[in-house]
Amino acid sequence: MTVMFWIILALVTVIAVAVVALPILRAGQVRIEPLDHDREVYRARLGEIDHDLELGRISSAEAGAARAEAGRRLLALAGEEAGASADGPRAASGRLALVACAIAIPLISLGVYWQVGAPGQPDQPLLARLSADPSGQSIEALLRRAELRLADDPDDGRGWRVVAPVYLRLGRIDEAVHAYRNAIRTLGETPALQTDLAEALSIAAGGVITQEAHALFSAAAQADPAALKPRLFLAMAMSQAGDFADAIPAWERLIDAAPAQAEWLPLARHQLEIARGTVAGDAPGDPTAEDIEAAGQMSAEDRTQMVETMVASLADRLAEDPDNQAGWRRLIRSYMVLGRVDEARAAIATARGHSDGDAQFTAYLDAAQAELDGTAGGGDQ
Amino acid sequence: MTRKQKRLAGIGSIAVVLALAVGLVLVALRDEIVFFYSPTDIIVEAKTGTGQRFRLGGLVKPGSIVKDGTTVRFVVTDTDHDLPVTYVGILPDLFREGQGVVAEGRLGADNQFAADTVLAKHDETYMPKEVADTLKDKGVWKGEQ
Amino acid sequence: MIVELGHYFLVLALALAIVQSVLPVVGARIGHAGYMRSADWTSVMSALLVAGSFAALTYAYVNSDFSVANVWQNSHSRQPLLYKYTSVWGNHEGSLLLWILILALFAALVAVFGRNLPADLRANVLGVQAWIMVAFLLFALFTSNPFERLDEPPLEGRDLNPILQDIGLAIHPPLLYVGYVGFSITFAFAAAAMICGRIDAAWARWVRPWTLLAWVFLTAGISMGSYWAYYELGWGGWWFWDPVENASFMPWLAGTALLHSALVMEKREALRIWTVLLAILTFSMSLLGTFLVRSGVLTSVHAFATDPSRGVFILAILTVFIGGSLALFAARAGTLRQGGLFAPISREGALVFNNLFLTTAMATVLIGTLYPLILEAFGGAKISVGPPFFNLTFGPLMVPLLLAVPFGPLLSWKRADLLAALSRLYFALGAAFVAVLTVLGLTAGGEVAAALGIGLAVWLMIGAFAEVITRSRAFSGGGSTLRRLAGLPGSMWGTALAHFGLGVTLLGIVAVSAFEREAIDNLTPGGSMTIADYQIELVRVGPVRGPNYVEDVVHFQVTGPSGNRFAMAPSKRVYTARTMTTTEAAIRTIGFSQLYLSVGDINADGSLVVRAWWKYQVILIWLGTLVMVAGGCVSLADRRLRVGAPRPARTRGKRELANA
Repeated sequence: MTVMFWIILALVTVIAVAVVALPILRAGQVRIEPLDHDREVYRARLGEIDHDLELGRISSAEAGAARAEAGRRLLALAGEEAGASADGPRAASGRLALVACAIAIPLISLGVYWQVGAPGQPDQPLLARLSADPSGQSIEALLRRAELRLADDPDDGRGWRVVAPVYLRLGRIDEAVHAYRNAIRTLGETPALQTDLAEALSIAAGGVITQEAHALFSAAAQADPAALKPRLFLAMAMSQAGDFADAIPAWERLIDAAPAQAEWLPLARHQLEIARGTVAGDAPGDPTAEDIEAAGQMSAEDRTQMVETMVASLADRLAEDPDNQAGWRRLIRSYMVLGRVDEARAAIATARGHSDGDAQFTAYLDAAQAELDGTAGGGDQ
Repeated sequence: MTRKQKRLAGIGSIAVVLALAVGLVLVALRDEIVFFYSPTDIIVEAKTGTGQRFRLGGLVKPGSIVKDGTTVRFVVTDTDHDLPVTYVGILPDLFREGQGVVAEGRLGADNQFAADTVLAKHDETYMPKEVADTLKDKGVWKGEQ
Repeated sequence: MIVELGHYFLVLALALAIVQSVLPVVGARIGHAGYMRSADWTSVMSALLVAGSFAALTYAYVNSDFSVANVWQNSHSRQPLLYKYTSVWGNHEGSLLLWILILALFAALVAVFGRNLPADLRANVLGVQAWIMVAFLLFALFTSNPFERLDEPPLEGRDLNPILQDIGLAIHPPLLYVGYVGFSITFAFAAAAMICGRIDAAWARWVRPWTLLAWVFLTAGISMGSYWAYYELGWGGWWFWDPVENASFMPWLAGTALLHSALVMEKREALRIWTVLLAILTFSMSLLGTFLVRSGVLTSVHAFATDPSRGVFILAILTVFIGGSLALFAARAGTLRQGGLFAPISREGALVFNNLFLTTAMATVLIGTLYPLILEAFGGAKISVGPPFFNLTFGPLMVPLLLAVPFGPLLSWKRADLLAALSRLYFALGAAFVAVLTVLGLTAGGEVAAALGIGLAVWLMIGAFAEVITRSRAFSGGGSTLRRLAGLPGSMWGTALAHFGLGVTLLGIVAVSAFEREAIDNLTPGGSMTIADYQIELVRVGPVRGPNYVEDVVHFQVTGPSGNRFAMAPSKRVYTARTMTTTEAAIRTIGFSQLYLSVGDINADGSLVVRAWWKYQVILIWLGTLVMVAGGCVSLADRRLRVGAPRPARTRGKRELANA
């Protein structure tokens, strides 16, 4: 390919030089009197005047005047020619120019191309890149390939199911949610897919188990009582909501049912302690971001990063749109889950300013406040 | 007419046309150009009286858009001051909360700006020029780089 | 490989253009036929190279080669194929390449079809054209290179601006560019004429077809651009006096003036200085337009100041070419002989009148376009100059010009009889009066301005054919009237058609401005509104999935005054790659009028704002410009415009290129 490139490049350059050289070499073979062209114009003009007269465009007097004018020009040309032909142009030998061009053209073109071009860089059409040997391709490339296929055939549910966890791993959470939804649309509701979608939704919400996610987990747990994952998240939801009375038995049952090597076992034990501690009024330790991470397959750093980002973006959104009560609820709850007590207090205070006298919302804020006071008090001991 | 008179007549008529054009341009530049103001210019510096046509530029204040049938109310802000705007019609495709906007119209007696034209930026990278400059002056917007 | 070859072709074209900018000019100076002839060859070769380069970029777009930065920035692999093609010139770098391609094609056209030109003039024309080529190739290669590569190509492009994904965009910029750039040839002719000292009637004759060609394309381009903005932007306006529009309108005004003054120069050898100056001015306006559109100075004077490399480059090109040509002009203008004399009332006088008003009008547009920029650059107030300014300045200047148009062709050269000309226009005058009275009667005297405007349009339309009618009567060729009409020269028909088209456009403008109706309402499915006897019912809203967008199509059922029913479906589109919304208006053409529907966002309660316009006779605006274009083409086809080449002494008349 590269050889071909250089051959064509050289060929075209040679043609370019030839294009300049040939006319110079052939110079002087054809000679045209320099003023013949002008004469042709005035002759044509005389013909037109006759034609116009015939058409009645001009009167015969006008035609006469116009003819005289064109005639005068023709005569003047003859005079110029007599003067010019005395020292008619002599063709200089074009050799110097020839050599100069033969050097200048390749020099300029190659020199400039060297500066601005990328010699030998191959074309990289998307299709060819994507259909190249998959083993050598990056995850992004493989994913892109799958995306293109899914765009052509959006009802390929298995395809959606394959790409969804990849999105999740790449941190493209919204797309993961979209993919799981499409998988459910085409493959039907299975407990596994419901669980996965609900998990993605929870991650998208910054680790908070949303209403929709909760419903999905419940449905999955009902359809497949043996599955542990939905129950794990449901227990988490209870802890998050501060419903420790229900959370304690849920965690206990989970720990009993768990296989010994389950990765989330430490998390469950930890959560159980927290729940018990709170109920007993002991220092609670905070339900941290790490707890949420352990539930998924993500690395700890990634998840922390992600949750923090989600919460921060939620806070930003609320700063712009402070009347969004649902948003405030989510933010306050996230702060409480993350143990960022001061920020939770601040958020509650701000949210009060936008409660618009909504009794339900105020009640929620009061409850959250009370809960915070309780935990903070415990922490001070 | 002699040749000289003809020439004078020719030059004279050209001068008349040019004078006419210059006159029109001057009148139009005095009466028909539209000034551009930010909410601060209007509220603090009172640069314009009610009833005068001008362009108001700034950001659409988040959460301020209220639709009522064909009437839209929103607030234009330059982060220092706000000015409420009413507009009847279809907002441009790129009209969004927190984005730059230019509205053309008149200031009503109630200090409400009645816009008859609303322009939003043309694409993702474009900000109406006047808005960009004003916001840059205020250090809010960082520019295109 | 193909992309890099395309890049190299562009660089090689630069090398050839550098040679071409020197060799033929020197050849013409020292009388070396080979040097002069080389320009023909290099012009054709350059055109082929740039065409190859353009094809390579197109190839990269069609195959979504995101290793080319330009392709990555401006396209998307899921784009419909057509828009992959149009993306090529839907961005700064690509459109510049198109600019250069057209520049090269025009030079090649002169090289191939310009055999009737004297060798020295042709060599100089191509030499000057090569100077422009060099300037723009340098600009492209060093500040706006469309072939810049990325080492690690992304897997998806950043999409073309959805507003630009439209068939109108596929057509109008290339047309506009052919017009814009076509005037580079008239500029090259002017500069070459000054270099060889051939500023005479023969020159005017040679330059006219090229001017006409550029004018035809520019007219078509402006018209298409206007229609594109009309239906794509969803605001229902057809001309906004936007700086970008003005940038194409100013060369058009100057070019139209040039077309007319070259006629005087050809027939009477008068107005020589003025014509050459106009040729320079016209191309200067094209360059200025390119500067305004391409430098970013319109987006923000500040943005321009922070990244001025492009703007400064174009400004430098502008200064060098305008300044250089004016200097050349100053050196040569003094050597010109006095041209033919004429009385104020004569064909020449009428054309001077035309030039005076056209250039003055152009100057007002120029002031209105530049004034805000200049004011701001010098730290003054921020203002915008909108339609009211142009209506007040441009409008009044057009009225006397339009009134005078029908007279022009009826006046004889040198000295004419105005009353005799008027006597041939009685019929047009009568028709205009009837039109004014009819409109006044129908509107009960309420629309005086509209009535006068329509009267003026009728005067133009009927008056345009006065010459044809008069001549066909006087023509003694015999036979039927039809035969006699057909026997008239094409240029006469061209003039008549172009002036008629002007009248048609004016009629459309006046009608739509005065009798347009607009209604706006908030509708829910089942609701309806009425505009100009049309009952518009919102039936339902349905989502549709396109290749790279999803849209909510709003279905309407419209019932006309005679009970006829038809469906219309405007929509709101969201392009997924940029999550950008566009409004797709629905337009129904009824006669020369149009019903125009545009919808707003769908509200939470399912209602949406519907804006409806009854655009009375609006089609005439563009139809008129098409008639003008047709007139230009007919005139261009007139064999009399093309003077035969002299037969070379030793080739025995084989090269009868006159009618090639």
